[in-house]
Amino acid sequence: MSDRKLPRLLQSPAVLLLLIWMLIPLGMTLYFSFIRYVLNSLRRPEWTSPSLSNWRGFGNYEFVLKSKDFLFAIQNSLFIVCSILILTVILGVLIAVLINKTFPGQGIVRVLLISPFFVMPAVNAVLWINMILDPVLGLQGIAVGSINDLVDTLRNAPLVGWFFSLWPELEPISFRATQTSAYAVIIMVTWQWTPFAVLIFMTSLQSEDQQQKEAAVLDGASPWSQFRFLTLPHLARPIAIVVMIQAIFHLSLYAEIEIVSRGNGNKNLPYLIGEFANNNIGAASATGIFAVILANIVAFFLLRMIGKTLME
Amino acid sequence: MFKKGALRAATAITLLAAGGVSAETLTIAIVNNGHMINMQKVAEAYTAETGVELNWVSLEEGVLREQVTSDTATGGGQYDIINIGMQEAPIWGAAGWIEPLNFSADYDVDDILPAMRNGLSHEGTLYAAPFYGESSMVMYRKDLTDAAGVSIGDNDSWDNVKAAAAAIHDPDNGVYGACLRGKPGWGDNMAFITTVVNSFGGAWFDADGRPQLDSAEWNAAINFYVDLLGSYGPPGSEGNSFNEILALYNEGKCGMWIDATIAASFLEVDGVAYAQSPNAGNPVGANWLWAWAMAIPAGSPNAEAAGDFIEWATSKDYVKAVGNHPEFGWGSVPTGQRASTYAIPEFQAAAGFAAAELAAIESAAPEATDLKPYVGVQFAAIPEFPEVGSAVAQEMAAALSGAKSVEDALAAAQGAADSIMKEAGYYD
Repeated sequence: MSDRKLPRLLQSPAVLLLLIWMLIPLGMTLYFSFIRYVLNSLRRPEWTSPSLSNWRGFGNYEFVLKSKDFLFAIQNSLFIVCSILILTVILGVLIAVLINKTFPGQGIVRVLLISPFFVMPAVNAVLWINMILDPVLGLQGIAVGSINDLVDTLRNAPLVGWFFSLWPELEPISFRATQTSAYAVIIMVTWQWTPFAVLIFMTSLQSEDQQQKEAAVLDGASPWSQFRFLTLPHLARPIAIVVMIQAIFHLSLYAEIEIVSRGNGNKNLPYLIGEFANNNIGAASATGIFAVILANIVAFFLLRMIGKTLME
Repeated sequence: MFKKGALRAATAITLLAAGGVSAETLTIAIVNNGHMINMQKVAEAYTAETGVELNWVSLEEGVLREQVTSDTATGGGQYDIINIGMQEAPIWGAAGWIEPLNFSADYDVDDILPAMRNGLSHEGTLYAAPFYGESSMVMYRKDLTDAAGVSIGDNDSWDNVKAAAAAIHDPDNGVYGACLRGKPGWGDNMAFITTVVNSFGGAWFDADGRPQLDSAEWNAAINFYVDLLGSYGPPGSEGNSFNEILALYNEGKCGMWIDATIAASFLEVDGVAYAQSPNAGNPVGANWLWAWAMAIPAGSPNAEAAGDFIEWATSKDYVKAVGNHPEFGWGSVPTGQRASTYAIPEFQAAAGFAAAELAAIESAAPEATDLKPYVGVQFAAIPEFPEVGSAVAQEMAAALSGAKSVEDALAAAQGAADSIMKEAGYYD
């Protein structure tokens, strides 16, 4: 007994510090979520300072649950996170397998591939939405405009003119619109995070068993079968890790949503917190608690998934 | 023993340092737009003259608002002078978060345009001094309207404006009839939309604070706005606010633009003409009114020095200092705050839009009236407005995108506004 007590005693300050480090912010959020705390309420000055006499019970939670975009925000969070995960994993595996072979200029290609990951999220969003996706001044607008011009000239051409006159006039897509703003965020975050997946998968591919592969080739296995039955199972663990890390990061997307559409047609729980935090700290805290619960649910499933792949 | 002594010494040193610094350093939170950035240069003369060191904290509009609100609300005391707008000034004055301003006779408070003074006061006391101010007006390409044989007059009817937009709309050649704000935000699309609603005779709230978004006036105004911008606006209008439209306009893609008067000084296209904002029978409130102003947070230890600096930065002399500054000149002086600025010949020569701007500011009326029982033209000066405005803004952008019908968007906006106002305790 006593030989265990001493190490525990020595560890306890560190553990205690970690507990305080975590518990104080969480405790404050919990406390604020149960009281009326409104930064600048003129009607009820007593609400402007956090105090127990403003106890409200689950009132803040009720307000948040009933607020216009709450369910939409959760739905949309899951939609964005899952879409990004699927896209980055598929693209990541494909690109990693592609550049795993040796070819001239390999080093430069790899550096270029990985570079989007080092762009800051806000810069990424500004770049994409203004310079690439903008329907008038961006690359998209210019491309659509020039295709239309080209088709227009071809319509007047002899012989083939009738064929092009059947073509429709292209309309540029506005990626800030309610219907499309979520896609814009998915596109830009996928662009940014695919390199991360590529990096992880590439490292893992380098540890693939070459003898096994050679044996497969000798047995006449097609490249697809090699990929399906050797490479993919080998990548199961890194895929699980990529999924978990990305899920945690993308649940808290903020800058991209703010810059693309200011929450129009596209928001998540962190964005909802931001909207409340301007004034209503009680509601913002209650939303924060909901976000913690959602993150824990997602983490629970992900950890089980990872646990399974690690056991195999 | 040793510990206690050391602690005392450390405290004493800190206090000394703090005392020594605070006597001559002012921390000023400013919004990062052109006039304010220029002020940092111009104020070097102030430091040279008075020995007061100025510590500038320059922030983006939204971030500044968030920072200053939480700092002021919690009595943080980070700043000696803060930049606030017309939305905050009367509310914060009423809440006692900012100090009332008293200036010497030289300052000539009566020279400040009455609309500005009213918008920055609470019950007749000035709480923030305007650094520059603006209203909104129509800016259009005279060459295009002439070629199309149409004209836009002062306070024209919306129908005429729409007809003019239709006449100059030529998307095949990259010219769109009307560029208007569509990006969601209470200071973005709602600033413009509110002036349209005002001109149709609508208002945000009734006397009890109940939202009025389900009224016939709102319906008519939003239907008109969505139709005008949807038919004759550039694609992707739901993403455009001031800066985006300015870029489009300077690329020659806009025939007409209704926005802040300050835009006129950034326009690089020839042949721009100006007109007072259109209306639908209710000219008061057809153009907006805004000022970026300087205020002193309550309980600032340097209130006196802060007051002196504000007096200098919003004085007639400051305007001259910018006009005569080798790096800036008369085209860059802050406008919209003082009547005397418009009488300076050098300024008149440099700013072709001056007369239109002054007329727009003078016609704007921020006071509460029977029609709209709250202070503010393109906003309501109540603390809940940013929250309500943002929620409504997103619905309006959805209506503009075509994702929702105007009726559905307004119903959703009304519901959201109602729940926020109820939550804030205006009514049960």
